[in-house]
Amino acid sequence: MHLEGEHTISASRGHVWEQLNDAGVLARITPGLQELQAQGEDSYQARFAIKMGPINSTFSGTLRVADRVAPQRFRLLIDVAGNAGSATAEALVTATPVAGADPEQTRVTFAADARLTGLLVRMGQRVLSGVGRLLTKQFFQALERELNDASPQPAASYQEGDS
Amino acid sequence: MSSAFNYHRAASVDDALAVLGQHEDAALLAGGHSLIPSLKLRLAAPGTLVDIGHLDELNYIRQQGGGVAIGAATTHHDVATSTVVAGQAPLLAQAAAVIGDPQVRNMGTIGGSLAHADPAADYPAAVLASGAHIVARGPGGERVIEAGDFFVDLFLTGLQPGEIITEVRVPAQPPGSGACYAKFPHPASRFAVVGCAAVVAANAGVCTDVRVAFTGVANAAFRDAGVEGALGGQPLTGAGIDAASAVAAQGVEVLSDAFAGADYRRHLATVFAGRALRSAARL
Repeated sequence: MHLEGEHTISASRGHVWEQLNDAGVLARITPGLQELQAQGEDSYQARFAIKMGPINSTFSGTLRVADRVAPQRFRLLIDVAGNAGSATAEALVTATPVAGADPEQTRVTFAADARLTGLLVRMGQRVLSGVGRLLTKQFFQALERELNDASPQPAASYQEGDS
Repeated sequence: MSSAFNYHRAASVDDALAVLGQHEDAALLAGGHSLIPSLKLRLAAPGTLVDIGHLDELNYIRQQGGGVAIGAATTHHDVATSTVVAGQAPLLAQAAAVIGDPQVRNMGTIGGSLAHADPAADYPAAVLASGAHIVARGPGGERVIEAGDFFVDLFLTGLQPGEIITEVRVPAQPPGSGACYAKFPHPASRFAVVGCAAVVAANAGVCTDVRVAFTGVANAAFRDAGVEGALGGQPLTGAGIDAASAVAAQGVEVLSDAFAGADYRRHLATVFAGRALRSAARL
């Protein structure tokens, strides 16, 4: 499944980058992410809870940040499994300043390829493209909220690991 | 095999609301044709099922205030075969008659279908094009939701947690107007790959009222302002309908799956808009 989206945000690239690279922020804006626990540098244990229509399922696994080129782009590598199947996803997130915009604006793009297995695909094939679009929309809405709102609602818990 | 759950056979809507309020992980059960399959696959595991499917207070079809009121637990079969619905809100009857198969129509309910908000369900298009209202009761009392505000996104409705749909109110189709629900069913599931509900009225050959709604095309059913704008006020002719249908689903993010890609689905939307409008206009 391929997901992509882009969104222009009224904030400087530096600020957007800072937020996107803050694990606490990432935990709040990634749709369905319930828990994010640091395992090492750029590596996390993650738990997702997906509630959509008749499906109400949890997935656990790892989330890693790779290929970080500040303040332009990074990759998110997600590998999770649950009783409804498993998902391996690789997402490229980029931040580009909008030329000539005053006040500063930043275009954030998101492109992911996900490989899904199990019941999720068997039962959900018909609506997967819609699910992807909804999750992408939620991600950008949450990012926007995060950047505009000084006191965001905690949607997920983030814990620093021991390492 | 489903996970273990508690089963509560509600004595009334108020009783069901009380149980919903007490259990955060409770789910409503009516016809069960969306919920039970996902329970059996353990894609959902509610702690408590609150059964409202048998409640007489939710099972009725009656003429009311210049339209039809349909109780939420009324089966698709009952809507499809009701003379009251056929006379006042034929679009609903047409849509109900082509949902799934006889087994689904004998068990599935109008409230369940609307609350589930499957992007390819038949009712949403008919409810939108008829200008119906959805009545919901919750902890804060009763409220009436316009169909246009109800279908928000994929499986997402304007219902608040703890609310139960109690009734669908459909205004009587205006005299002199025509209506048609045209559907391309998926050959296996019978869900709408594309479904188009259309209502048209004309005066002296000019289209005075047109409402077109699609299901199966996008994340949620929607009224197509493009088609409506292209036909409203224009001569109601085959050529006029063809021109208006050609702009169907423009500016809409169209669903895509292994059976029907986005381009094909968009094309189907233009074809089925044409068929629904021609039939509604008796052309």
